[in-house]
Parts: sequence; C-alpha cells; structure tokens
Amino acid sequence: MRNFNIQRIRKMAGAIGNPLGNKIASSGLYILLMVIVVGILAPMIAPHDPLAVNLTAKLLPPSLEYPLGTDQMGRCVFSRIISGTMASLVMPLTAMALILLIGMPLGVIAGYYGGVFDRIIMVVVNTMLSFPNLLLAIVLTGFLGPGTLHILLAVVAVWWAKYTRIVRGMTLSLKEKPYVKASRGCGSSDVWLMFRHIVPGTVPTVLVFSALDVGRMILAISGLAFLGLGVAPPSPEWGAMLSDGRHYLQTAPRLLLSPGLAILLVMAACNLLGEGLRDALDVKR
Amino acid sequence: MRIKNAVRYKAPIEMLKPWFILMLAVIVIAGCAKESSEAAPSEAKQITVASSTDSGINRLDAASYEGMMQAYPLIYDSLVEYGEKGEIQPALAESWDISPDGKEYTFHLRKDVQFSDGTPFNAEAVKFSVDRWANKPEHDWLLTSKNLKSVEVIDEFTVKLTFTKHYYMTLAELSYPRPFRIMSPTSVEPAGDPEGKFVKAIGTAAWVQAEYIQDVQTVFTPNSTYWGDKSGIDKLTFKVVPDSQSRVLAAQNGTIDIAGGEVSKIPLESLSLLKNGEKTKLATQKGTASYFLVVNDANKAIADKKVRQAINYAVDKQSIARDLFDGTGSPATGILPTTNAYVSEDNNKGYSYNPGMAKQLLNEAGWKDANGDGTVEKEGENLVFSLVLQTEEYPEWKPLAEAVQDQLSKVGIQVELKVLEQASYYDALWKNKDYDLLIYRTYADAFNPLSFLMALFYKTNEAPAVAFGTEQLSSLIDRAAATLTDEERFKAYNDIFQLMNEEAMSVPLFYPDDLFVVNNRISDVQLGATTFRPIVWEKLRLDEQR
Repeated sequence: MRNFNIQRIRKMAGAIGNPLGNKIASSGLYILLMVIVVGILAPMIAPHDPLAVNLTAKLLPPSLEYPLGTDQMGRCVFSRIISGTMASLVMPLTAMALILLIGMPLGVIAGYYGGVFDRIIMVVVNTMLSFPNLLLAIVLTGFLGPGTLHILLAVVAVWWAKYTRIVRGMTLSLKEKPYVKASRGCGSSDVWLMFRHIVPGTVPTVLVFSALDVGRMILAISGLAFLGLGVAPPSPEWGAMLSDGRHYLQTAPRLLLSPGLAILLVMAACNLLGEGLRDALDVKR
Repeated sequence: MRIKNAVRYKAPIEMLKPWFILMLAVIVIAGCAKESSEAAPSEAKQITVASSTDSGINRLDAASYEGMMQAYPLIYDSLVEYGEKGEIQPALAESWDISPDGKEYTFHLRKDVQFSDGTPFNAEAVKFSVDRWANKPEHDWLLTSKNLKSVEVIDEFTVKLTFTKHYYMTLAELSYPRPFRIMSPTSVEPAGDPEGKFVKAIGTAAWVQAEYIQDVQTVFTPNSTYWGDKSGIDKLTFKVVPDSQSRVLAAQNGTIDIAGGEVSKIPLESLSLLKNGEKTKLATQKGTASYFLVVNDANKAIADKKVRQAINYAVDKQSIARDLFDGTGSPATGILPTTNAYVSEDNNKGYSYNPGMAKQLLNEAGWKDANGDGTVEKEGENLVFSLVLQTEEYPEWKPLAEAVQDQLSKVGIQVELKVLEQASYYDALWKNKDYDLLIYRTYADAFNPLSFLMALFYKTNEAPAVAFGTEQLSSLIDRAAATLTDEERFKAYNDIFQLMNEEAMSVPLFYPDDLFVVNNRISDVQLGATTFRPIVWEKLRLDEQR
C-alpha cells in the first residue's frame, strides 16, 4: 500500500485523458484514433456490404436496417461511410509518409552541405512552390489518369517541396548550434551528425506541419475524387460520395451531408491535433 | 497559455473562410433567384427556354456547324422535314420526283413563301443555298453533298439536284438541322454570292432573331411573313443555363418555362421534384436513341461470340429501366428502339435477362469459376473487363455503369469502371480503342439507322469499324444504302439487325425517353419528331388564368 500515491494516479489518469499534455491535441488524437479504429473494424461493424447494389431499395430514408439510409444504387450509406474511412484516411497518411521520406533527407542534405547541390534543390523547390498545390495536382492526375496510385503520386509530387524548404531552413540554423559543433569537434561523421543531431531537432516542427497538412490533404484528395479524379467507382470514398450525392441536394440531402460531415470530422481532428501539438511543443510558425 | 491560444486559434477560422464565403454566395444567389421570379409576369406573351449552350445566332450560317443544333430550324426551313419513324414530309418543297435510277431529284417548291426580310423564295434562292454547301470538304460525311453533281433551276419554282450515285438517305439528310437548310441570298455579303461572307441569319422559318447577348440569351420573335401557322406567343427566349442543377432550380421557381431534351438536359435525379411540382409538369415521349455498350473484339474473351452473348443475357434491362431510371425510358431490346425507321419488334428482339443462360454460355466458352472466388477464369486468368464512361455529358451513365458492373459480377464477370473526362473518353472511342466495354449512345432520329451504322459499325479495307464490324455486316450496310425501294430497305435492315443481334455485336442497355420540364402556365406542348426540333415552338400557348 505504500505505492499508493494520489498524485501518481492523477498523473496516470491525466496521461490517459491527455496523453500529449495538451487537451486540444489530445482530443484531436482521440478523434483520429477512433476514426482509424472504426475504419479497421469496418468489415466487421458495417451492417451491409458497402458495394452491394440493390436497385429496389434505393434512396431509402434512414431506418434501423440502414442507419443513414441508402444511396442512388440502393447501397447502405452508413456502411459506405465507414468502409470509406480507409481510402479517405490511409491515402493521405501514406502520402504524408512518402512526402517526409523524400522531403526531409533532401532538406537536410541541402542545408547541411550547401553549395551547388543546395542551389539546384532550391530552384526545384521554389519552382514547385510557385504553383498552387491543388491546381497542380489536378493537372497531374488529369495527365496520369484517375486511380489511387496516380492520386498518391500527384499529391506527393506537389507537396514534398514545402518540407524540403522547412527542413533546410532549420538545418541551416541547427548546424551552427554549439552541441552540433561540439560533436563535429569530436570527430563525428556527417551522416552521424545529420541523423543524430539535426534530424531530431527538426521533428517537432515537421510533426506540427504534417498534422495540419494531413487534414488539408484529406480535403485535397476528396476534392480530386469530387472532380471525378479519385478512386475508381464503386469503391466508397467520401469525396466521390459527395460528388454523387450533390444531385440529390433537394430530394435526399443526407447523401451529401453524411460524407461531408465525415470529412469535416477528420479535418477538424487533424487541425486540433496540429494546433495542439504546436502549443505543446512550442513551435513557432 | 490561454491568452496565447486565443491568438493562435486564428488558423482554423481562416481555414473556414472559403466556406463562409461560399455560404454567403449561396444565400445571395438564392435571394437573386427569388427576386427575378417575382418580376417575371409581363405584358407580352413570352416563354423562356433554358439552353445549355449559347445559340450562336451571330454565326448561324445555314451551311455551318457553329451554332446550337436546335437554333437552325427556328430560322431556316429545309426542303423536306423528317417526321415520325422516318416519314419524309413536305416543307419548302410541296412535292418531289425521284428518277428511276435514283440520281435525279426534282423539287416543286411552295409558291407562297418569303424570307423574313421580304426577299422572295424561289428556285434561285434554293440554288444559292445548295451552291453554298455543295461538294465542300467539311460536308463530305454527308453523301448528299459529296455526291452532288449539279443543281439546275428548271423554272421559278422547280429545282433539280443531280447526284453521281443513288443514295436513299438524301431526303433524310436534307432534313438535317444543318448544313442543307435554305438561307436567304441576302444573308451574305455580297448578296447572292455563294462564297460570300455570312452577315445575318435570314430564313423562311417561323422565327426571327430579335435580340442576342452572347452566352446570356437569344430572343426570337415570330416571323410575320411565315407561311405556316401563326405563333401563339410573342417572344421565345433561349436563356443560357449551363449547370443542370441551376436549371432545376430555375424551373422550380418559374424563371424558366421549359428545359429538357438535348437543348438542356435535366438530371434524372430531380424528376421527382419536377413531375408534379408547384409550378412544373413533365412532357415526355419515347425517344429514338439508346444507351448501349460498345464491345471491343481486340479483347480475346470478347472476340468469342458466346462471351458477348453471355454479357447480353447477364444484363437486367428491365431492372435498369424500372428501378434505376424510375421508368423514364424503356428496357432495351435491340440496338435501336422501334421509334426509328426500319426498326420493328421482329428485327429488334434482343436478349432477355437470363443469368443462368449467361453462366452456361461462359461455361461453354471455357470460363469457369474453379477456385470459388466469384469470378470465372480460364487458364488461370480471371475474366476482367474495363468499362469506360464519361459523366460530363451523361451523368446518368455512372449509376448505369455501376448497375451493369453489379449485374455482370453476378455471373462471374469482373468489371473495372474507368471514368474518363470527355476528351479522353472520345479518344478511347474514336481513336485508340483503349477499352473492353464502353458506354455510348446511338444517334437520334434522322441520323438513324444508316448514318449511325456507318459511323460505328462499318468496316472498310483501310479502316476497322469504330465499334464492332465484320465483312458481312459492312456488305449488308452497303446493300441497304444502295436500295431503291422501301421494301428492299426493310429487308436489308432486317438482315442487318438480325446479324447484329445473333452475333451480339453490342450490349443494348436502355432507351431513354425525351424528357421536358414545362411550366404549368403553358398548354399545348407538342413534342417534335427530332432532337433538333424538340418542341413545336409555334404551337405553344399560355394559359390565361394564371
């Protein structure tokens, strides 16, 4: 009983309710986690097959059997929304991972070595940044043709430059820090310096930016799907569902509202997480 | 910490800004719409029609392809008009004689006709119009122009066209919205010069141009010198409304009186709102076009007749017409609906819905589902087809494709949908054949069946058919084109349709109706026989009570 310590319990409770030490960030994280869990469990909890067409049961209002009603093909909207979670969430997260894999090393190398290499990379980066993101993505998918992989490529291609730029800027200042210089004085190699000392220094900032950007990416990918450049039908995807539903704005607005609210929820969660992390990690914009 | 947060919260609000602006815009637009509807009643009897594109009246040379198709017949008459089921009716020509070899057409013109500017209508005027289109390369797709040898003025009201070859479609082609309609010699500068520069659309038809604002609206008023029945209204306005949802809203609040057909398609999803709306009703008739699947025999599986037949058996045409499209058309049987010339119940049987038969045929062709994954396979390869479609012009093709995908999956054929944007879609169809199945529509009315068959199913030594062609089919089409009598033509088309059916050269899906939404204050809505004369505008009347 000696271990009984009210403070410790309080701390543990706090860790569960507020794992990031910031209530805003934690609420965002919890919403995201919840959505991801629902997405993973979708095949088990979906009341119907999200692809099963039943033309005799189309455009039904919400009922016990169909919690959010059915769409124009008689498919269960609720099942489609939760099954669409993976497509709508996994794609942006994968894209983000790829972007970081490309953007961060390039930024660190450019900032660390400088010189011609730096200049070449920065020319490319600045060129990329001078185009509006979504517009360039539309052009690219239009050129590559619709499809999951193409969307992924397009989003990565237009987004990586921002991270190269951020990381390069931070590397420039980090490499002048006394602890980096000290380590170099001790004879550390360039690779060791970059990965042991500089990259960790950039992580908080990159984390905040990427949390915010995942939200934007969800919106961008849904936007592309809305324009018909997304995943092939009939796979459920929120943007595509929104696009199909807009014809029923007057007769069955829930076809528009359900995917719209799903996007809103995830977007809001990403923003909360990003904003919260920024405060928690005290990263300046 | 708290105070800091307050400042930093700006970001999410900033992200919401576009939404606020959007909402504001919606409110403002909604407000505008209401105001204009209240201002609608006016002194003159006027009817407003929505069109999805600009009429192009300032470039509406009768021998051009510049304007909206439906605008040509408003201004210009043709020598003969196309009636129901391809019956050719007199128009500017009261009667006509065709020489026994089918090469000479003598037209006897009406004597009571004037162009809207007072220019007399006579054989010379017809010769002017004919000279303007004859043998021009841009009209080579129409044999009437390509094969024209000479045009002669016999007397003031008789004109003779001589062709190098007999072609039975000549009269039907003359009824097309363009380029064969009769235009006044004063429409060009210098007047009467067939090579002259087009200045103003002047014709003999029921309407004249009154006011035109490009991409906004075109106003027509009745032609006071028109030879036919007097119009029941004073003004006919074509208002450009490119977005289909806006057309629905405008029809609901009475800003526009008529929308639909090929002039301005109305989305099928909104029909239930408009059917017995507060201000609107629907006017429909059986259409002459059909939606069907083009099959690409470059795919080895599709090259097998049994697989093509299986696809036909697997599609539930009844359910598509009844459940998917809510009865706004009829279930398809053959490639063309019987509203077309030379198409009858007998030569248009099609395939019934019989998934059991489909599975059996697939089995016979060697496609079996041995591994139980729900898809049939042969030599270890699954039967997977791509299905290409576009949604810009035909948004209803997406649910249609999804329904077909679902139905084919039930007999073990896996379909991958590829929604392409309009230009790549047409490239796939006309140029690179990058599809296994593709949703397309047949042509309508006067272009059926010959122009349509020629365009899609005709194979020459140099070029393969666009859709699906065999030597046998091409020779049958040649035979039909060369027939001299209606009887021979019926026989030729019987053979064609039976061959296409037996070989399952396409997969007919749906016969859409011609649909129009009409304001309740309009009576006497008489739908036309063609998509380019969708409504007999002159006959429209306004109900006085309202």
